[in-house]
Amino acid sequence: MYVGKPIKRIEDSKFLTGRSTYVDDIEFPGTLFVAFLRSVKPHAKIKIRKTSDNIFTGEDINPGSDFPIPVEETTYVGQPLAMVVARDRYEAYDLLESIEIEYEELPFVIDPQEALKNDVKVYTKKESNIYEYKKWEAGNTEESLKEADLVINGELYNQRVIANPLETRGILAHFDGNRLNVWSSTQSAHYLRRNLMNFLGIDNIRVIQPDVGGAFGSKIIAHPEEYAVAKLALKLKRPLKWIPTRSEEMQSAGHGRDKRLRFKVGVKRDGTILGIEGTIIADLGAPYPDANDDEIGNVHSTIRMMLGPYRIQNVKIEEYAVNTNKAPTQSYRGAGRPEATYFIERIINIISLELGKDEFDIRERNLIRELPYKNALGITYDSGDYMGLLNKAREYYQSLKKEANVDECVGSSMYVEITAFGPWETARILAKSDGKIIIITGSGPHGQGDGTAFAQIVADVLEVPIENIEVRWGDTDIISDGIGTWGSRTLTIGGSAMYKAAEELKRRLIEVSAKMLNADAEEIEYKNGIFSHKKSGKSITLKEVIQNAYSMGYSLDVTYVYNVTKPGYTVPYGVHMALVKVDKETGSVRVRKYVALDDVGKVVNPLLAEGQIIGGAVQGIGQAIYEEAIYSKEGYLLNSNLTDYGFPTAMEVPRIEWHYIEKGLSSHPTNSKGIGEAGAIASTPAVINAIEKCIGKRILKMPTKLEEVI
Amino acid sequence: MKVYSPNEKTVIRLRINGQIYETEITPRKLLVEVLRELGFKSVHIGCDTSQCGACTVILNDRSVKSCTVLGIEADGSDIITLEGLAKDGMLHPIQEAFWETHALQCGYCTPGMILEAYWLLKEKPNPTEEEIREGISGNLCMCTGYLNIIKAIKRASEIISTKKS
Ligand code: FES
Ligand code: FES
Repeated sequence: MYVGKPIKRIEDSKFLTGRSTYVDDIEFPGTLFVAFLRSVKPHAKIKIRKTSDNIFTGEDINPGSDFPIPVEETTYVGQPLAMVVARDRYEAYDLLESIEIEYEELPFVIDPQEALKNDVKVYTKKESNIYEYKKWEAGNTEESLKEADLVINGELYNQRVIANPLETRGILAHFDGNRLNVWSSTQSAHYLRRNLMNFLGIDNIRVIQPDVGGAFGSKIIAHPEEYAVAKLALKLKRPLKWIPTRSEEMQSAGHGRDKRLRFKVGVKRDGTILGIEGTIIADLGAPYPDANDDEIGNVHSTIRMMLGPYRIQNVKIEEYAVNTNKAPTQSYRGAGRPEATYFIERIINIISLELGKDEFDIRERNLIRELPYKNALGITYDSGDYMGLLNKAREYYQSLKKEANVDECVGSSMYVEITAFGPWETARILAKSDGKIIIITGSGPHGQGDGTAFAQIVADVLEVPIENIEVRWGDTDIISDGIGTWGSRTLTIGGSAMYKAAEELKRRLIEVSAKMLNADAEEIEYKNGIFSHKKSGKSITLKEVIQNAYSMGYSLDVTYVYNVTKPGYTVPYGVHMALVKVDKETGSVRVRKYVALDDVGKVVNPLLAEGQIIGGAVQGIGQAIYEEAIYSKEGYLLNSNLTDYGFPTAMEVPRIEWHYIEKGLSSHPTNSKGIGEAGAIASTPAVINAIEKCIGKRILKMPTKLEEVI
Repeated sequence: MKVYSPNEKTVIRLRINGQIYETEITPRKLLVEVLRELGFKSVHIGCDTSQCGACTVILNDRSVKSCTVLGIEADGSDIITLEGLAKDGMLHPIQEAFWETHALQCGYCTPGMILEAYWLLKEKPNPTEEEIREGISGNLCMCTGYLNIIKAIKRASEIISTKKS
């Protein structure tokens, strides 16, 4: 069995030897380089004068519309306004300097709380800055607050951060006379293809996702530049490449989070939470439809997951999702769920400090006792043992507390998280006549290592050495279709498709072997690559069966579409704990040790799962102590480079210990749940809760600033 | 003294992974671009402010961010990129250790990270954890959270010292 073992990644060899191929590594003869002129005004009417034939504007891309490339009106600093095409990137950036652009400045609004008053329009052609207003209600919150011994008010801000994958976005588009070929640093070739088809109105498009240097949610949507370059490639019939600089990337992509909660929570003396009332304001940034569509789903996730693993029956949340004149927000690792966990786990910490009660006691008192459980806002938590895990976590918590020195505190958070979204995913498996087995997924891994996990799953089903299996993905030509890699779905949904495809292949092989052995399929026993006839004792090898299948006219090429049934997600949970050191003299904060305990169902590969937890936890710690996209009042992003934007280096990361239990299996064939985002969800509140204890005052926003800690 | 004019191309010679390359470049071209154009695509670009270290190469025995060196400045120098680290199809112990400890995910920082580790272990064959952390603090990784990289470098130092003894 490979499943469950810490199998080393089969993908690694090319990365370790410098033979990987990211989008900027691909070249065609005659490739031209594209660069974008970006808005320096948060809101303005624009007029662009083309001083050369190599300059293109919104008119060339989307005449009559301001999205993806504005024709008349720009709505954020960093928005692409015009593009140039040149022989190389040096000349392209020279040419950018020559573009003549006139801005007629318009009033703008940066603060979402101002924006929702609608005094100043983010975009003059939109009725309202409020993208969505909604009330979320269950139970009787007013009553519950009246019955409470204590009502705590507060305001929490989960600030805007930037995903910053180490490789930026980038695209190479090439019309070959017949169809458009697109290579992009994206999270899904198939999804990008669908987006481009809709935009361009043609269907002969092939998209390839080459190696991708991370994404963390920032490369799900099709970006304005991707649409524009694709369109221009059709027009110019030359291969076009676009790779932004890091500063451009930070100004224009990967912005996430940015949600505020004003809340009232009613509790009894014993810590029972009776009800929560509040208002959520989510800043969507500028009205770029692809990003807004993406982020609005995340806003809903924030609200629906805000009840955490607790039996809170009374809830009333007013939601405002608001446009502002900032870069549009998108999914960022966790995509709405980190904010949810942040809000509720901060509230738990505040309750525990107000009541002078241990945070684990507060959790225990309110914890869901029986699963499955449908929370008051309709999310079904499917399986697991919340209390068992909480108790186990308590032991780690106690021993962490023992380790803490006088200037150190331990904080914790418990999360539940929705993962493995549908609607479906594909897998294709084929056996070559020489015996080689090739598996292809419709998802689009970009660092997470799912290729190895898929090979483990298939090797187990087919009972073959993992070395016999080759894994591929990321080309719309090699598999019928696909969804993509996000929502911590790949291993579970993509893996279940893979599992089913492998089973179907095995079924066919048994059928072939039965014919070869003059037996009925039921009489065949398959074990470790050998098919035997139970009665006659005769046997043949997998390789022979595969070879013969071809001669007998059987296809050994199986595509399986795994359809995700209701509720369309599965729910892992866990408790994370952080030991932080706070220097009250200098205000510096450092996480010294971190312990995570998760139940993500069946762990297919603990080495890779742990890698996901550590990576996610460090990003969440980054949000707590270092990172923030800071906008000036004038609408400029003040820290659009890696020097000014704080980011943890190897110096800052704590030791991280990861533990797991496998109590809450999912109902998918893999029995797994997603883990890709859990670390980033749980770590931020765990760290802030610890700091809050140490400094003895409430923390309202992040990152914790030196001057606020002192 | 040689005077360069902005648009005039100059021939430079570089010894990369033991082989001599000659190429004609304008004075403003960055070494990172020169190396990539010569086919050394493992040299990556992750930023525009010399922060990330994805472009790290070994230049005349020192680790250098090649995005912060002009091609013409490097004329005559000796450079090692990740492509040159494995010898006779055998992975270098650092590459081995990165694989073993799962010290890479998307792989984009990996070339720079491995070369930085290579230089670090030349300087300090038996680094402490603190020295490793400090040693790679000029190299950002957005995926791994660094811990497995630190582990890999420690492990590589062990492999190298057992090989020597
Ligand atoms: S590319 Fe970031 S330091 Fe060189
Ligand atoms: S492995 Fe992705 S940046 Fe390091």
